[in-house]
Amino acid sequence: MQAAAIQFTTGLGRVVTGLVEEAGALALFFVSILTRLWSGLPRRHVLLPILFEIGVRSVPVVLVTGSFIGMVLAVQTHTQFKMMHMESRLGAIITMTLVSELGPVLAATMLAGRVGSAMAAELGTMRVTEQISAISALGSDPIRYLVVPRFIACVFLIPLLAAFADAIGMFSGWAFSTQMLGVNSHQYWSYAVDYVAAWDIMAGLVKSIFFGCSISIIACHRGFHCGAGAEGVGRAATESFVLSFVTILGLDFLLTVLLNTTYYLIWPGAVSL
Amino acid sequence: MTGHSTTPVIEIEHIHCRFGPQEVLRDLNVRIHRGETLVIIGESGCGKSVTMKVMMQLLQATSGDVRWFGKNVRCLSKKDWHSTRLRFGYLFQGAALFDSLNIFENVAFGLRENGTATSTSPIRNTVLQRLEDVGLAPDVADKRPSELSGGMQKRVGLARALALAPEVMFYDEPTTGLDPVTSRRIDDLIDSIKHRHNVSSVIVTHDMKTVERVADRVIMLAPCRLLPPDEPQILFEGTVSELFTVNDPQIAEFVRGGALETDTDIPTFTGQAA
Repeated sequence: MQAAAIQFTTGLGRVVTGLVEEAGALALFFVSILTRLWSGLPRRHVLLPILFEIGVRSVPVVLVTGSFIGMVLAVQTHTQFKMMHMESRLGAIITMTLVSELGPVLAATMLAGRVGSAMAAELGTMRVTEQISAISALGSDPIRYLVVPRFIACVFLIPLLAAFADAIGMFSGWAFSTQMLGVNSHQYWSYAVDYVAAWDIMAGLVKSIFFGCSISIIACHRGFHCGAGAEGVGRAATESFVLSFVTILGLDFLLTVLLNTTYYLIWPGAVSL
Repeated sequence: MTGHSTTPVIEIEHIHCRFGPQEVLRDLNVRIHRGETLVIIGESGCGKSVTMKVMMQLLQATSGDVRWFGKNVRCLSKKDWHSTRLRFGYLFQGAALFDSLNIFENVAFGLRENGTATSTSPIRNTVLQRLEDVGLAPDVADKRPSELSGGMQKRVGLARALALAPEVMFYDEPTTGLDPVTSRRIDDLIDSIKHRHNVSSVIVTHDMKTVERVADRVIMLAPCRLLPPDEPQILFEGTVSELFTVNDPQIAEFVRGGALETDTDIPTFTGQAA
């Protein structure tokens, strides 16, 4: 019994130590990115291809994700709202859910898979084939050259892509609600505009910025500290996605609580949907 | 060997290096003099490449001092450290060319990133000149690294390292994985670079033919895991002729084994220009 307790405590201690070490390593990596950012932006010829890869090439993924979320929300909420004779308010719930919650979270999750894993695998391959050491040997700073442009691209483009997912979701939700479920088009948009405030849009964008930041830090850190060989690269890509996904969910919860608290501190008498 | 000035270009003193529980370098002391070609040999896993990376500060030693041109690297300001490091070139074992860039951009990388040349014309001239130095035609410049053979990739890696006109060149197994003819050409290139650009060289290799062809001085390392606790890691230090006449059975076996292997591979190339 005592041996089992010791074993459990030792195991728990190892997990906690591992988590603290992981958080510390990521925090230090983030600080190293910020110090490079402070001393200047990356050159245009380095930044533009990464912006294209992360932004433009992610549009189809975001388009598909956003459009299906909008339609699924319409189907799910219509049944419930119809029982309360509130189907005219479908636009409000779809738009609200998309803008403040599902749009940013699902877009970030998709991008953690598409962009984050690709970044981890690319940097991991560069580590394994000594390309990162070669950058250093040629007098350049690998974090400035490889990580900073990816960080900037994720922080600026993931919120834009999330906003794009929101817009596509709203449109597909409207199209499905009006064409398939018989909801009045004017009422759909009217309730959407009435219930969704600028704060909700801002909250979604703030979340996306944090998600973009965490995806880039985790993916680049995993790639940068990749283990040897093909196995190391594969593990870096997988770990990058899993850790990004868990972080997105955790951050979403924390930010929702924080933003809601802030909202009711500023407008104490406000009522929600 | 060319005449040496008194200050070594690189000096490592009492270097110890550990990766976790594994001891890789033990109390290592090595000096490289101006214009000298030092070859480091030893069996796999003895820390040859680690020694070179510690010299170049691509890896940090657990303890010990590294001096560049007589100055301890720990005492150098960030600016001096950076400018001194640009006086070194490094040829990686697998060439380590950047997959996402073409050959021209690979060779131009150091020039662009360090602002050594900012306008297009000098960069273009330097890149084409360096490609020519390593025996590559200008039309290679537009190709991707994946379109080149291993030997050509090594040459491009060499051209890239030479683009910043280094005073010290590090070669990590420059002939590994190459056929005997290409190996010979790379050895000739190393020798011609030494004489044409007056560079000091540090070479890590298993290839005894390379040792014969290019070395001024040879160091043989032993793996720490096979050494008794107080035994020095350097098994041999001396000239090539001393290496090939040494009586120590362990060194003789390594040298003879390597020499026999390469003799069997390329019996007709000894002493011939490729």
